[in-house]
Amino acid sequence: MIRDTAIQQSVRSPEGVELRFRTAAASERLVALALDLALVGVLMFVAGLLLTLLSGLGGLMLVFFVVRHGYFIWCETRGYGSTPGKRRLHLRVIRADGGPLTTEILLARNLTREVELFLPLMLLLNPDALFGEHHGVVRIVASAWILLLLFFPLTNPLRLRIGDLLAGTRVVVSPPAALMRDLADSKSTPSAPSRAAEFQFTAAQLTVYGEHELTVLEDVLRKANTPDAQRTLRAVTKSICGRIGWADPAAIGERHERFLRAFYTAQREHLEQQLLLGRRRLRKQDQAARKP
Amino acid sequence: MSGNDGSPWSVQFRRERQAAWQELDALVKRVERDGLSSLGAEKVARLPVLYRAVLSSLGVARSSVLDQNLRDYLESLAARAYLVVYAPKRRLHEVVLPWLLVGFPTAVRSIAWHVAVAAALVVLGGALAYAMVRSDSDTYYLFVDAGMASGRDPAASTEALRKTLFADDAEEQGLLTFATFLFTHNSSVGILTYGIGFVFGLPVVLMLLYNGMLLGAMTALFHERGLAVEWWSWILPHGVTELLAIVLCGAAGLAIGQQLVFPGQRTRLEALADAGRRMGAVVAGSVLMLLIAGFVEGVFRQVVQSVPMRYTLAVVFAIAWSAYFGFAGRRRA
Repeated sequence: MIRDTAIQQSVRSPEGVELRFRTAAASERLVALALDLALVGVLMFVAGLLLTLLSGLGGLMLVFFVVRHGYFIWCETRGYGSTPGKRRLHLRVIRADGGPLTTEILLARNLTREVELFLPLMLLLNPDALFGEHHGVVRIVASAWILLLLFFPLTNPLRLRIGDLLAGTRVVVSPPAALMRDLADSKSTPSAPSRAAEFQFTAAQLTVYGEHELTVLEDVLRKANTPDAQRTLRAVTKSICGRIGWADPAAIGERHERFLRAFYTAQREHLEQQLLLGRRRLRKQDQAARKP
Repeated sequence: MSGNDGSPWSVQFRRERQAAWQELDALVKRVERDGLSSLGAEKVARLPVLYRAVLSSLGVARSSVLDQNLRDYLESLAARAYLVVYAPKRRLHEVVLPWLLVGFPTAVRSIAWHVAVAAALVVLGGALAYAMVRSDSDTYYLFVDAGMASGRDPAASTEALRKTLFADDAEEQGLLTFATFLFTHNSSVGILTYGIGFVFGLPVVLMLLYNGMLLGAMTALFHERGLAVEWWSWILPHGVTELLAIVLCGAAGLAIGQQLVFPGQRTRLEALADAGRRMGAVVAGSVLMLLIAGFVEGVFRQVVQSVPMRYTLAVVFAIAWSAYFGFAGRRRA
């Protein structure tokens, strides 16, 4: 079994900012390809039907050729490096060096499909058309070689196909993300506490945890409205109280969410201030705040 | 610097900027769905401004904001905006004309040596097969299989051979179908040659030699029967264009193979990508040439039976291609 990767890669945009992407997994690319091929099939069928009705078999081969090669080049050019199948899975073609995509590049990565995709497909569907009179060893060696091309992306962690190598491109996942409300903003969140409110934390209590724990807490709070959340909130409250030595856990009562929100706000305020001073504390295990 | 209400400073940071983020988000979504042209001129002008603003927010957020959702959002927004801002040119006329007038001939000139080597390989294969077939006509079958020969073999009478040069191959199929078949077949071979260039160019060498051998073997056969003039009048009108296109594809494959073996100062991947991009344009141009060749072969050659006319066309094509690749797209000094 071949494990799919979740490798992050980054490109430097022309502005010099590093942009991070997740490498598209082989499975995602396969699904996108299947969708695209289905569309190619439909296009060929419709065009073929029309042509046959209109003028006989004359242009059929031409149309097949044009659709086969034109589809990907056209779609990726029109669709900002994304075909309909890729778009469905939020896949994008980007340049490995971060520069803008050009038609040249899209040509280069899609012309190789002839070798990587259509040739192997033909081999699987109709080997006789490919080899004609050749038999035996020639067939076996050639088949092995051609199939190697088909599975080439599985041989490298970035899942590059030969077209990606020749064009210097990568296929990455770029899903849209939603901007949720700021948990620490009392204006956007009515229940967010201000400092004058019910829970106050001392400086010592805020030095216990690091950024990692803050992220975990954020996650817990964002899920506070889901059915099972109350139990989680209670458990987290208990554990934090124990860890920071909160004087009177009993007084919190059922106000777990309010307490955690207050702690989150104070903790984030503290850690961000430390960051501005150049001190970074990633986890609670880190003894002292480290210089980055 | 905390806010005066005791909230983290990033709260204020976000309040001040999120309107711009959301404006960009809406623009990017719209472009992803409907294309850049769906935005008015005013909004198109906003795009790069907002994009840079988001990049700067992203830089700050990465270094000193601890709201994970906010950071993820900015990462995703910046990445998507980058893809939209640096999108490929999408209008056909912006792409095709410059490529025809400058890109393609310039790319071909940049691999002039590879073109020469590829042509030499074809000639070498041709000479080899020619010599072998002339000395022993049975070797003809080594180079040309039955399907390819379709009656043009040493067993055929001279009269039958002469007929193949003037007969209408396309009678049953219709001229355009025949032209199309020739075009798609040759183009697939040409594109294949480019694609297999990455295996160090070796298969390309074999392919070029083989193409030459095919031609050489057939040439030997027709020369032996005293049909040289007619034979070349049959081959050259489309052959000038077709062989040139195949040689260009082969040269592209060789250039890619060369970059892979001798990447120079760059890494192999960089060298390969650079060659691959330039050669992609060469191959696309060759496909266009093969379209012309297929048309000449499938239609013109069947219609025009006069030998002088056929030679005239061959000469016209030869001059046209030399002029095009020699001069098109050169900067005036």
